[in-house]
Amino acid sequence: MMFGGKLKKVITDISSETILCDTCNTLNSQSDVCSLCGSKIHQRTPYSVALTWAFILSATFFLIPANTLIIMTVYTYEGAEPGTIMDGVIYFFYDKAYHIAFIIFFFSIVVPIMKIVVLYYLLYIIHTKKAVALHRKMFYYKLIHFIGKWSVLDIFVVGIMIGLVQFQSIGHVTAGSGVTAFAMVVLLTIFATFSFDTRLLWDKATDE
Amino acid sequence: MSEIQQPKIKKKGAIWIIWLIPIIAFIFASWMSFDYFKNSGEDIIVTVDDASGFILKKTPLSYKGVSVGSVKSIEINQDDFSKIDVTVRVEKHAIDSLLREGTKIWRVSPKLSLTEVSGLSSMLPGPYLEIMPAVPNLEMLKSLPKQTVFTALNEAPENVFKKGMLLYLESKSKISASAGTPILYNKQIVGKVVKKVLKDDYETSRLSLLIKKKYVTLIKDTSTFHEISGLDIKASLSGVKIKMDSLSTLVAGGISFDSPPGKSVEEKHIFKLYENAHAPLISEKDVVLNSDQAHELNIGESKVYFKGVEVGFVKDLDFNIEEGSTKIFISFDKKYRHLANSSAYFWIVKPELGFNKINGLDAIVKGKYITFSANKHGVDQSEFLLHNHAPTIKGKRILLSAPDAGSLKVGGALFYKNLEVGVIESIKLHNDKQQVNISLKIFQKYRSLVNDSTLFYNSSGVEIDASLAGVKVNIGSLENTLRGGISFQTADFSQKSDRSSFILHVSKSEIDDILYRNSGGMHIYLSSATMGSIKSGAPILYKKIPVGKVLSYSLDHSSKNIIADIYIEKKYTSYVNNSTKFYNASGVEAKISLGEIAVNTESLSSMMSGGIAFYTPDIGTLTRDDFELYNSYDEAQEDMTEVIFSVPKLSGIKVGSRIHYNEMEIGKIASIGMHDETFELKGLVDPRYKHYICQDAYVWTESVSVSINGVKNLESALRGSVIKLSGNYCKKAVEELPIMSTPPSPHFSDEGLRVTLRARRLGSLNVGSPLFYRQIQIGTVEKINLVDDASAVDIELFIKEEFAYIIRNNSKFYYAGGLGVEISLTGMKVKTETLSTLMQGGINVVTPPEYTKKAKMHARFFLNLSPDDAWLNWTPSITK
Repeated sequence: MMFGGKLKKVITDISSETILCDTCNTLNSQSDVCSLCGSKIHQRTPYSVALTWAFILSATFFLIPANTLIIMTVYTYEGAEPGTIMDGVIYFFYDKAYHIAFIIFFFSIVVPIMKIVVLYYLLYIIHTKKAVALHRKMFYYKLIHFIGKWSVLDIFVVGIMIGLVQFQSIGHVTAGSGVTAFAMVVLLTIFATFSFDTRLLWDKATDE
Repeated sequence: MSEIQQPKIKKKGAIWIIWLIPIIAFIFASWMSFDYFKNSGEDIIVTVDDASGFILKKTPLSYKGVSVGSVKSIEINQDDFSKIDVTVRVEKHAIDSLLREGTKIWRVSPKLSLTEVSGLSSMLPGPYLEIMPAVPNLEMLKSLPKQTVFTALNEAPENVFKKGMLLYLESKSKISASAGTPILYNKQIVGKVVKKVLKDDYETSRLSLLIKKKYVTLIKDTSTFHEISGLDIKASLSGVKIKMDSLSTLVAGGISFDSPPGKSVEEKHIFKLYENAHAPLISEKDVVLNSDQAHELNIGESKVYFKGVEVGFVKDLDFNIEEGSTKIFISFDKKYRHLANSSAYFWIVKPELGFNKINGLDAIVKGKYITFSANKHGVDQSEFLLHNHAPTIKGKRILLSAPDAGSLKVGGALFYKNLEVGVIESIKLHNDKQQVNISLKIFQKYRSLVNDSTLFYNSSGVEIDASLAGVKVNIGSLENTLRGGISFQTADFSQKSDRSSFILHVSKSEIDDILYRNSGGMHIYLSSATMGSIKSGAPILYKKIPVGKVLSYSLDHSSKNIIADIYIEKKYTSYVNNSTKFYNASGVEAKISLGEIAVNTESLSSMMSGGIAFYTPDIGTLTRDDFELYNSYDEAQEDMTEVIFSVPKLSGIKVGSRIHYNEMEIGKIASIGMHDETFELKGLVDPRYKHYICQDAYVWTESVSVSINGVKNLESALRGSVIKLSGNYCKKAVEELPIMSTPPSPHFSDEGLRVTLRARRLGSLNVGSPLFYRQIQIGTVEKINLVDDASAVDIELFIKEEFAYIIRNNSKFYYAGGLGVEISLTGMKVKTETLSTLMQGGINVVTPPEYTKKAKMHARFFLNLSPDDAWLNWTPSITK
């Protein structure tokens, strides 16, 4: 795209006729089995794109209930206070706990959505064979791979809250169905990230 | 790529499975969302009066403690700004069962009252809304149309689910019961009041009761409900009975009911609520009593009795100003209502009179009450006259006249030996306005008790006769005492009974007095200058035995004497004859000396009340009835010699002061008069000693004196001043003697030598200073005088008889007093005589060995200041 003219020629496994072992990262000559560890190796993981699509779509579906359904209900003596993820963010925001509001907002709303968007983008690149600098594509991937696990923060918070805040009538916390949806979102995005074969990103680079 | 590329074996069949994942995910996510939104419930609008404490999203709509929704929004009602529209999100599962027509929603806030602590669940979270369907089961609910707009009730409605029967009680009077008040049957709580409303007529209160299911059979159509007040105190003479129902009724009251045989009732049967347990028994038809006044009857408290049975109470009083009469409305017991018929006679019993038999005590406790007599054969009647007194009784009427009515009251009783035999019918002022006429009625069967000899007396009040013989409290019966009554005594039942008017005597003692006077004794009139101990009732004593009484006394205008009328009892009359002497026997005669205290009294009763004693020295006849009353026994004795002492200053002498001769009591001062600035003391002296009342007798008074030599006359400190007499026996007694201010010398009357010393100055000498010979006291200074020209002092010495021979014409006298201090080169020499002379001074006498004749009476000497040294060596042997 904007760097289109400046793209360099990249040497990939295919161009060097080697296959990278997923298990031990040994670069093999073209074969079915890793010369070092004996694992099954593929030039490109089969069904990677399809699986990624499947997971990413699923995650997208769950994204709606995850953000609209009640994620956690706090029962205090004053009554029940059900809340969605966004309610939590707003609560902490009004409570002037801006950093907590930001963390929840970032990891529970921004990150899952960003992961899904980034994956869509990467899939889009693969499908459209759009020329994007390899290091940039890899950066996107590494990013979602890295921050993806932080998205369970919200689940973690809910889990801890349920476990710790059990004071019966004074206050207790129950999880809402939103948690399930949210957990599904996180899980499915992680699956999607896993099923995404990063070597697909190299293909385009080779074509350049 | 490579030519020898191996064929790719694609498992084509697996790819569609991948696409199942998003499909499943889609279905699952959709289901979750759908499920959520489907169950998110429905909004209803509840109009409340007060939305204070409601919190958006938090304040729940509660159904039996379960939250079935929460407040979604709170807005002001646009049609009525006093109300608030609360939008409540009702959870889906509750919609069908709760949101039906008739469903009640109300606000619950904490309520703390004596009977009820409710809404406690709303203490912390604040008020919330409670919902309750109109009917208890789903089938009935289904027929009801749906409703989503509600108006909140002000208080909790009757709970449709409570198992039991709903009943209504209605009352037009004040009801203290309120929601929560327990319903009791035999003190067992069988239900409670769930609601209290004022009906539209604003008079009738309607209580909704919920009777527990298992007790429902107790409710009969004949049951009567009444309020109980927890604590019921009934005070009567038999004791105070405190009846307490359960503690909760104590504070909140309760409703009790009975269960007579009858038909069982339907749900929502309406009963009448009575104010108290008696109320159901009260006849609908009141009895009205007309009275001139309300008699301080208390509405609701003053009772009506029939033969001691409570048959009604004063329900209301109505004073008619124009007519000046009071209508007393009586609520009658149904059972006894028929007694209030034309035969009834109502009267008021006033407990303020005191004790009216046993009921009267009741009335003290209960207050005035109304009672009546009646028989059942009368025509029904409801308006009566309230009489002030019980109906009159048949009997004999007697009229008494008395100076005043005392504490007698109409209705008071007439007693004979404490037996009630009649009643005081009326007390009226006599026409002459001096006397009170009391009309008595003696009951028929006792009429024979009164005849012409009967004496009536007022037996009300307490008669206390305290004497040394004891305290006699005559209170008749307690009833008399408090209520006032008249008693009588009939001395002789054989007398006729013609009289019907009598005098009412003041007290029993007056009667006793009359009887006493008429018991055949003897009256004697004593005249006395002073009242002394003459007192009505004072005893007459003979040898300390009471033999009579002082009946009365009066002042005789001609002689200015008190004339006492005394009465000697018949059996003692023989002890009185013409020689009898009466004297005051009152008081205590105490002889107090340092050696002893002797108390001589007449009888104790005469000591307190005074008394008159007499003695009869001779045998003789009694021909007179007037005697003189002497002040004392001494005076009564015939030949006491009268002596008049004159003194310028009384110095402690009073009537009764003793006259002593040489420490022996010979008489007493009988009276004190005044004559030309001197007091004239009339002394009575025992005739045996009258010969000591001589012209040359020395008379002085002695009172206590304290000096360095000791305390003198301590006795007079105890017994008062004493008049002392000193002197010799003489043939002719005198009648008047002056009293000297100083005592005579101790040796005034002693035989001895008297010499006079002339000295330049007195030194430390004093009257009484000793005269020593060889340090033995042989005499004293008797008198000290300044010589007429004031050039020297004459000291008169008295030398005891046995030492008189020592004093010779050439004897030398010198001062023995003081210290003699001689200071020389060899040292200091201190000389003193005895310690007494050191302080008091004294005189020494020495007689030379070549002594001359004995000194003569009243010989004169010179008092030397100090002895010559030679004198001290004189040691003559003197022959008598």
